[in-house]
Amino acid sequence: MGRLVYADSGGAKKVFLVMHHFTKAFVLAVLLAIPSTLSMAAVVEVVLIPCTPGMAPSACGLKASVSGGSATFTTADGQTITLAPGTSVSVSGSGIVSQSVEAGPIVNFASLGTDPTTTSSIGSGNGNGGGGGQIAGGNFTGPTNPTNTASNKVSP
Amino acid sequence: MHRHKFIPVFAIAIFSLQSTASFAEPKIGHATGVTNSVQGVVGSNVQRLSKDSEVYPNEVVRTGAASVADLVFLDQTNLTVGPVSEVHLDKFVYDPGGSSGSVVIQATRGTFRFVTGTQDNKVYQIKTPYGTLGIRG
Repeated sequence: MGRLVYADSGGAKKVFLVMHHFTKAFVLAVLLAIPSTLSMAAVVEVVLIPCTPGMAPSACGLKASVSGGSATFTTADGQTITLAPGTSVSVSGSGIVSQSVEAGPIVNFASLGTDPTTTSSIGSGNGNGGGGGQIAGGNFTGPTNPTNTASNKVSP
Repeated sequence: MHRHKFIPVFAIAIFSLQSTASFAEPKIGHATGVTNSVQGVVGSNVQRLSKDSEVYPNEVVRTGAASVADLVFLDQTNLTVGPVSEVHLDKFVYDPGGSSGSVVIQATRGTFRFVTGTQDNKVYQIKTPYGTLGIRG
C-alpha cells in the first residue's frame, strides 16, 4: 500500500502516508466506482384496474408511484410526465392524468384476501383532483396529500 | 413384435419434448415466495408456481384471489405480484458490466411492486395499457 513517514518540523511531529503510484490509482478507481455502485434501487408500485364495459371510468385506471429513484411515464398518446421520487401518476378510466405526492406505499401485500388496491382504492370520482391519492377524478383513499401538477386527458 | 412395446415409450418421450420445448429458453429468475394460487404460462404450458419455481422470458404470471408471488430475476430485480394480477415478463437482457441490458414487463391488471436490480436503472421499463413507465435514476 505505502509507508508511513514521520517528519519533525518545528517540534511538531507529523505523520504522512506515502502511497505508491499504483496504490493511488487503485484508490482513485475505487472512488470512481462508488457512485455507480451506490445508485439506489428504484421502487415502482403499480395499481392497475382495467376498465370493463359498464364500469364507471372513475372505478378503473392506473396509479403508479416511484420512490428511491425517478421515472418517466409516457401515456398512450405520447405525453411524457416526469415522476420525482415520492410522487405518483394516475390515469383514470376516462384518460385524465394527474400527479400527486405520496407519503408511503400505495400497495400493501400484507393483507391478502382483499381487493388489489389495498391502500389505494378507486371510488367514485369528484373530478377536481382533491382528496387522498386520486386517479384523476377518482378517489384513492390513501393517506396522502396529493398536489396535482398535471391534469390532461389521454386515451388509454 | 417387440417393436410395438416401444411405441408408447416413444410417444411419451415425444410428448415430454413438446411440453418442455417452451421452457428451452434460459431461466431469467425464480420465485422466492408464493402464497396460494399462482400460475406461470409460457405458450401453451401452464405451471403452478411455487417457491423456487423458475421463470422464463415471455412467461405470463397470474395470481388468484388472496395470492402473491415474489419473483427475483438474475440481476436481483424484485417483482411482487399482488392478488388477482397478471404480468407478462416481456424481455430480460442482463448485461452485468455493460449498458445493453433491457428489462421489460407488461402489467395487465392488479398490483405490483417492482424494485430495480443491479443494472443501470434506465434499462427497466414497465408497460401498462395506459402508458409506459421508464425508470430513470
